[in-house]
Amino acid sequence: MPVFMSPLAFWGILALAAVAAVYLFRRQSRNIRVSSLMFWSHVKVPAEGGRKITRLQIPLVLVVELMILALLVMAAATPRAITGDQLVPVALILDDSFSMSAGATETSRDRALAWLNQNIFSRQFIRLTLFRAGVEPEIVGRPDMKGTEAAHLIGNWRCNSPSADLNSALRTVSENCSADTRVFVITDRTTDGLVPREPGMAEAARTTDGLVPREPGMAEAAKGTQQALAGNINWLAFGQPLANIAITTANRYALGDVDRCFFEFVNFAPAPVRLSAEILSASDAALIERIDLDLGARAHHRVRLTIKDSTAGIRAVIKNDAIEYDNQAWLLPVRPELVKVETASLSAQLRLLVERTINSSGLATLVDSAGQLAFFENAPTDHGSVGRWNFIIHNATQPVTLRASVAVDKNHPLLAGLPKVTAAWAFDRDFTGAGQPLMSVAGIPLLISSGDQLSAHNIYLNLAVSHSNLHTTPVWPVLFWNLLSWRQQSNPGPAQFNYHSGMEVRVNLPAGVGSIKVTTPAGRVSEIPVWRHSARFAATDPGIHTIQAGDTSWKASVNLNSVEESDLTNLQTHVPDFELAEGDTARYFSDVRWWFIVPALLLMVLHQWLLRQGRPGHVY
Amino acid sequence: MVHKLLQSSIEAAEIAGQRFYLNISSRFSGLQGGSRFGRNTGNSLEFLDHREYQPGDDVRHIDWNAMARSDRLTVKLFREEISPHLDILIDTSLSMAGETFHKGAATMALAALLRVAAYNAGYTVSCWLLKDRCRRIEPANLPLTQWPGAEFDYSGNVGETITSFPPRLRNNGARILLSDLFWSQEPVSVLRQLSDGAALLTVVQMLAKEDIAPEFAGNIRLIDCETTEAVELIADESLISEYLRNFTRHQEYWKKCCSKYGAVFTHCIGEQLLSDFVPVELLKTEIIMTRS
Repeated sequence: MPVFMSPLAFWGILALAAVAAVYLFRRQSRNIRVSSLMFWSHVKVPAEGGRKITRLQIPLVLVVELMILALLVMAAATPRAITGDQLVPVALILDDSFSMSAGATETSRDRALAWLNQNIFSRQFIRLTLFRAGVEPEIVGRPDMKGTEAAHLIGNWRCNSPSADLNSALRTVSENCSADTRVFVITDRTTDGLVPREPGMAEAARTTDGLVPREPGMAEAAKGTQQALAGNINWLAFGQPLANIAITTANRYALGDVDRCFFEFVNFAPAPVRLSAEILSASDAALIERIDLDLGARAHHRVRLTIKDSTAGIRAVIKNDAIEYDNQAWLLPVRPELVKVETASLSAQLRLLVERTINSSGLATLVDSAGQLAFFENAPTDHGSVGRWNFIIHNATQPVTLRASVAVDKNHPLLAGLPKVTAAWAFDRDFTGAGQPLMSVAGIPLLISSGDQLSAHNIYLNLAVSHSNLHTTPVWPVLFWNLLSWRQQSNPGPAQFNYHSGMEVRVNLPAGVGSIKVTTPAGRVSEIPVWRHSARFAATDPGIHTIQAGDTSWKASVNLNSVEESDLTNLQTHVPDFELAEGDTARYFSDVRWWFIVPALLLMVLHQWLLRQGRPGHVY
Repeated sequence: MVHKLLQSSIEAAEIAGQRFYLNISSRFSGLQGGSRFGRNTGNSLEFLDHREYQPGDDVRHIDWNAMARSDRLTVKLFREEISPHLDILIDTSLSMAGETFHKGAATMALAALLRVAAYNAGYTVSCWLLKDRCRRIEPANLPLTQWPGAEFDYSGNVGETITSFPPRLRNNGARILLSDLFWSQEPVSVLRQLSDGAALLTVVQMLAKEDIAPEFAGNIRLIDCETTEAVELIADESLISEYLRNFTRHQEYWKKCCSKYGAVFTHCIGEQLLSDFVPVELLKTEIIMTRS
């Protein structure tokens, strides 16, 4: 429905009445008696089609004239309407962090949804783009949706991100939306997390309440973003301060034969509370430690545990707190599977040396067969199992010994952290091998890596051990630790088992696996495609995730561990009044005078045609 | 009002008619006897002149005495003796009344004028009112104002009346048809009927000023006097031109047909006649002449 910008032009409607009056006046024909109509007989000639030209045609021209006038009057009233791209562009940045879902009866998200339904989704003249501001911003649905469509998709705003990078979302908005887009940041904090912006941005500050995120380094990024969107950002907060006890840290690491676990409980309330928590075995819920103590205002309590059973999962639970998303933490076993190493093909001298190094790493175990890594001297003696790596030591009989600078590719995982090579390196000067040279001297390769990391992989070491003292330098254990760690990381399964919420979980997979199924703690199952024997996904929901790849499955724990999401004392509500369409009518409502002018022109043509079609003396 | 106009017009026309006489046509010559002398030579006993014999002259008129004296064949000319009669046929259809009745009044005035002029020329006169039948006015000298059924009220086709129910017109008489000819009957059939046995047929098209120069403009609703059929028009130049083309075409056709049947076609404009009671067109065609 067009909006008329010049309603005074509707006085022109009087012209219709005038035309109608003139027509009616003209229609009052004078009665004239004539001797005969025989000489006026041409008016009685039937028109084409055999129908007489009758009075019924008379109003047609009048109707056309009135329609032309009405259309011109409406065109003169400067009609504007919402057409296509002229809808008011609105971008909603939805804070997807957990804090938005905090609340006993009503959450910030609930309040925001109510406001959105009332003020945004019900507007018919907007085109909405939803941006979910989580760890990384993403568009929900598609850009430029109608309000009803956006209201339907708002359910995908679940508030289960460990953090909300609102500035990144603003940058995304500035990159994806036009500069005149009205941006609404739907969050739960205003002043507590924000500081006044720099003086040069005073103008835009009035719109955004003069606030930009506090985080250092973000100011510059926000500057460009908010300058692009200056005047269009509306920062709306729907939070309310809440008292909360949370587990802010949960960590587990291997220490010798035992595992060490660490939990931190924090009271974010401004008053002391009673902390009642338990640390349990995840498998059989056996109580490991009970915590029952008074915790002061904004105080913390740290728990350190030594777990002898390195294969047992640990779970910590706060039992007396209403905000649940940070009340639990899981710590799964952290020890990866040891690398199975075969050394049977080595000479006695080399075997002793290698086995001693391997055993000292703690990353591998020696096996006689079905090894994942096999050491050979000069050349592999068997093909081994699929995916086995071969480490071939080219033990030359007449080597050249050199103590010189060795070129090292330290970007390769095999050589990461490698100290400077100062050893006397005995090598075969005629050695050549296919693959990527990782270490070389005088153009002669000393270490070559070839093949696919995830399948057959051959590593060649050009070293005559008997004439070298490399194994007595720190290079030797580092090289082997890197080798075993690299091989260990290539084993199927997650790279690690305990994650912070929002971290990317990377899963190595054997050949032939096309996808994995990830089951979240809430039971949602998603299928993740595998690319180059690896699958990656972002784990956000706190709890135990199950990763299924064919017949093999793994578990990975995700813990929130976020002070920002647990500290709810600085949540505030701030919803400034504004009128979305105020002042925007002329800007976003396109000029649609042509809607009326074009039909008027067509009707004028029709009018002329009707007049020309008539015979002389016809009353049209 | 109409009656008053009609009466005054008739009275004025009868007075004006005294100045005219109906021109006696040579068509009457050679006929058997009569009560009046014609303007040409004829068979009366009244001597007019001598002239040399010309082949075809009646040998009975050879003046033998003169031949004896001059040895030349000379014939005596006598004045013609005629018994002229005029039939005036008056179209009394509704169209003759017209919008202003000028045409009807002029028609009756012309009839009165012609009757007086005919009397002046020694004619006997019969008047016929053409309605659904051709009704003869009896007695013939009945004043026009007292004619029964002289109202212009017939809504039928007068031409059809003439052809279907022809009047018993006197042979060798002069006939004058006063009509606007606004009927669709084929002129040929009417003229054939009226010219049969006529010494002279004169067709006087009685017209009103609005017939030859309609002056209305704008939205008009034309109503046919006879049929009451109406048509709504916007009168403009093109419409009037179209009308005049049709009218002229119709008139020219009548002229052509009259010429074919030896009839004289002329017209008379009602308003003009009523202004001075001088039928100019009839004088031009010498149907009537001014008495000296």
